[in-house]
Amino acid sequence: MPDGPHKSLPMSRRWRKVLYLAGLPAFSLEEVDHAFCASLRADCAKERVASLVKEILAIACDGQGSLFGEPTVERLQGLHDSVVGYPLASALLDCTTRAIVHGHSGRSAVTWGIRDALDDRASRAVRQIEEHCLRANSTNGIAALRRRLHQVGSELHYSQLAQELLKPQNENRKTPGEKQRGLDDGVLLK
Amino acid sequence: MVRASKTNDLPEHRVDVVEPRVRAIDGWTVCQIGEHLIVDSATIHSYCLAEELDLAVYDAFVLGPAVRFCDLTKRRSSAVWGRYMCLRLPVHDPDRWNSSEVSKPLHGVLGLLTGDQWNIQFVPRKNRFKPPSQGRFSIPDSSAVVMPFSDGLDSSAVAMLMEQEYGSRLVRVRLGHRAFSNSRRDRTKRPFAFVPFQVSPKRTLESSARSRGFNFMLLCGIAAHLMDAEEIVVPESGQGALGPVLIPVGQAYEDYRCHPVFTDRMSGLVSAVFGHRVRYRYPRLWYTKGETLKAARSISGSTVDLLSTRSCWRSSRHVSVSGKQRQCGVCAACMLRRMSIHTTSFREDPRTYVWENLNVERFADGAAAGFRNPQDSGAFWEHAIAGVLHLEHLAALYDRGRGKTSIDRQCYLLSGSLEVPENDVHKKLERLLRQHKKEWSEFVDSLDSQSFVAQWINGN
Repeated sequence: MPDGPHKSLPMSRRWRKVLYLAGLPAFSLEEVDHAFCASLRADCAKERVASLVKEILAIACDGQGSLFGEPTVERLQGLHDSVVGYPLASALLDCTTRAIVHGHSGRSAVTWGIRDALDDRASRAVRQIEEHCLRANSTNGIAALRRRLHQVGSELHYSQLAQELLKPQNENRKTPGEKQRGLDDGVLLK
Repeated sequence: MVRASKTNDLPEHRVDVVEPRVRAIDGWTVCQIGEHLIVDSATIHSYCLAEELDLAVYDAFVLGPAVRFCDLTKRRSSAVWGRYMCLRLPVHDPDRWNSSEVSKPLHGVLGLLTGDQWNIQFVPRKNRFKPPSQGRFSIPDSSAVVMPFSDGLDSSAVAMLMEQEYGSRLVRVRLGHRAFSNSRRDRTKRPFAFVPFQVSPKRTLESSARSRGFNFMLLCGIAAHLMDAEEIVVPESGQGALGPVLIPVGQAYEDYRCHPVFTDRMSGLVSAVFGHRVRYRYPRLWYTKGETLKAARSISGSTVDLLSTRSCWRSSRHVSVSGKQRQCGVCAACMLRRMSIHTTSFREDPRTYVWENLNVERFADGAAAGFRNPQDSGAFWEHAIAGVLHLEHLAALYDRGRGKTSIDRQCYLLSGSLEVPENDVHKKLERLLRQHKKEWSEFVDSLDSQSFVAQWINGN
């Protein structure tokens, strides 16, 4: 084994919030889910996913490319240099290329690519949350935390996020977070 | 070829490698040959197989540690993994190194390995390197096969297996700074017995050190070129080669240091620089370390050579007990070693490790009596959690719904570099992961349900 993995990197503020919400049964799964998807969205923004999606779409939906020029897969692989340093963007490129190799094309291939890349990032995030939970000396809730994390961030959510990323950028609106404005709007009753 | 200027928001690091008494560019981090980067004439002798050392080989000896210097001297941001690395390096033939034939595969391989964007510019050297005289080595008469050799379990076990297959054609390339043997004859007669360079930055700021993989595989590529060998055997077993890529954590970039996709690209670089075609082969890629150990024991019948190996990456100043160096026993590499040795039913002295006992409720109670101040916090604690979770997550990969996309992506990438259909890669990987799961479950079951390892996995 190469001399790693050492330990995970510091967790972002948003993922720390997911850990906090998932660790307390008082918060509903919907609330955890909401924070989970918001964190994924923030990761996409940090790793320049939206601009990459635009570039990928231009290649994947260019019907002329495969007929007259370089095949689509090779053109996509040509984007690799520009995503070095951004693991989520690299995953998106690999997953989209794989979708094309497996027979998808155009927007469908890009949707598959985004969904798989988000699923991959979600798995990494869950592993990071578990590690940080144990580092905080908390073995008590680890089993329940794992169960709850397993239930959030479904394929449906990744498809919805994919659709957001596929929209032209000026059509995207920020989804407002659910605000609790008083005692009556406090923790949801189950 | 100088690549395009920076077009991203990654943190930037500029390093100017200079010969002695040459001034560096203002504002750049200085890496002086002879001070921060030492290419040792005495140890370079170990690579002098021909009458005159090819100066491209010498330049590669400078390139490897220069890349490592860059890697060690710029801390990664906690938000995004990548960095933008500008490196200026003097070589004997800058036109050749700057040509797109060499520059493109070089930037490609470094980008894949380190997850950083590189911009390397080669400039003419002021002084020509004077190679030492040719050494007289015992080298095989027929075509050689090269194998990187460290002090690890996989290296020793696979060397036993490969010696049976290749006999004296197997030539080991030493990685790490310990000599092959204490015998003077051995040291002077064996080629590639030393790493010919050292890197000594004033301060090490980054510990992920992905560039080590570049140095090691580059040395093997050079050795293969000098021996005219067509094959390099990479001894890593499946968990070590593929595990770090299958289950990265958080925003960290996948670790490709012992991965076929990386060595496939290294092969392209070796071909571009030295005009020599070489193939990196992984004979144990689809087997667990435990299975590799069993295979080696069936040949040698003894476990002595295997148990005297070292798996831990913690440096000696951290893992000494009563003045004697041990292995930590809890990092991912030590955990994998302990699990694999448990699988083979070898008997290992508990004093091999600082953490002699894993079968205790409190983490700190497992450390050797003479070990200073063990705690349920700090570096050992964090490495232990990362190590246990790494093996647990790898074992659970096929069972948890999440992770399937990571498997699919890796099968797709492996299929391309190994030239094996993706379905076949899937089947082999599934068998490997199921075997790993079996070994890990048996190891954990051998511990009490209240041991800290079991608590971390199952909760309490």
